[in-house]
Amino acid sequence: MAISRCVSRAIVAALGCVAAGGALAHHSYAMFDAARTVTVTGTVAKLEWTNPHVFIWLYVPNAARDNGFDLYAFENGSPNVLLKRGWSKETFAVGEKLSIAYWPLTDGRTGGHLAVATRVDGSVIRAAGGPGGSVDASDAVAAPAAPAGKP
Amino acid sequence: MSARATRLGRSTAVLLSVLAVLGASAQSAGDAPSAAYASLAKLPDWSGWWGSGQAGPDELRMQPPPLKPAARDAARAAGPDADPLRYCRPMQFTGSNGGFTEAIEFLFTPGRVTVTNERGLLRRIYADGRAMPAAPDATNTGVSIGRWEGQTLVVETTGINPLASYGGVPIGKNVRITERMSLKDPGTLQIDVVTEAPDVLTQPDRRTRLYKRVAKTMANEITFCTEYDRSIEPGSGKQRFDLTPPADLPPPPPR
Repeated sequence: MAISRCVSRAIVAALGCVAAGGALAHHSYAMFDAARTVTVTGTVAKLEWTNPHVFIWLYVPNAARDNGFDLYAFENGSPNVLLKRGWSKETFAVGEKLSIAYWPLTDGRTGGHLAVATRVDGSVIRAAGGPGGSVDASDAVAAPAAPAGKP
Repeated sequence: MSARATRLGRSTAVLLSVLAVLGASAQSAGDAPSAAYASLAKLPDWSGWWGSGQAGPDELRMQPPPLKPAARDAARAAGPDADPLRYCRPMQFTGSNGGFTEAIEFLFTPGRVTVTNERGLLRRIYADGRAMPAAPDATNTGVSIGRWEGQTLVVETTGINPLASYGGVPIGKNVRITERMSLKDPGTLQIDVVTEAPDVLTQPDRRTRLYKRVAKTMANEITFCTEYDRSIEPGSGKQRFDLTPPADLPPPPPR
């Protein structure tokens, strides 16, 4: 039963990928761990506002590193999808502190798919897309606590 | 008055009459486009962009197409991952004007409706009374012939590329898609779609898609065909997550 359900899901996922006019045909979400989200806190290095995916680059403190930081990359939806969800290319400023919940890469590298970010002032910004494929997948993810600092 | 003068007068009158007729004809020709455009005022207001969160994977999860067993096996073999061969392919119409992310718009001109979406779909629907060609060439958006039934636009589409993907498999030959488009209310556009694809479907696939009018102008495009894509390796279409930092990153903040 479990196997047939899995196969059924695979078929449906394939249908979803292709019959939607190719909207999801860009890539699968298999590279992300859909079973969990992870939270990190850091400083925005760049908001890469590009098709087909917007990326957020974050410096995350790591005392074990020579420069004291790991560089994380978080994939997000496309600019047009994010515009509909209230984003703009100025949503995050370089140097801004954020706490980010994300679906991690399954290969363990420093990155993943953005789910939700919380600013120092406590305001919450939700991403678009993620494992499962729906635009509002991040709505089910709890927002992380605001990072320490002055708003 | 001499006979010569009389003939001259008659010739002049005839000439003036001919010029008057020609002038009137020219005037009519000049007015024709305006009159044709004025006729658009009778059509419903579908202006702006229309978005749908429905015409995509959620809809297909709820209501999979009635694939024949062989087609279902082929879709299963394709698996849930995207087909890299589709990378950067042009838009193809197989019944959905917009999918997971794409808002659509309708442009009315005399005798024609043009449908576009954010990914560059371009459908030319001829609504000028012409007949469907008997054997149209296969193209990515097919040949669409429309007619207005009151405030409803009825569109028949044939000539679709047999390799265009539908339900995860090539849609095959002798495809006919019928759409009935009308406003359900001023902010909701309803499109009833019937897809006949005898090579892969056990029966016509019937769907109703609802699009909501988008308040803002959609100025952005969505494209997978960028000069640099962190998720797809150009050429091979192989999926990746490229962590090469942008060249213009600022230095890390002070510790």
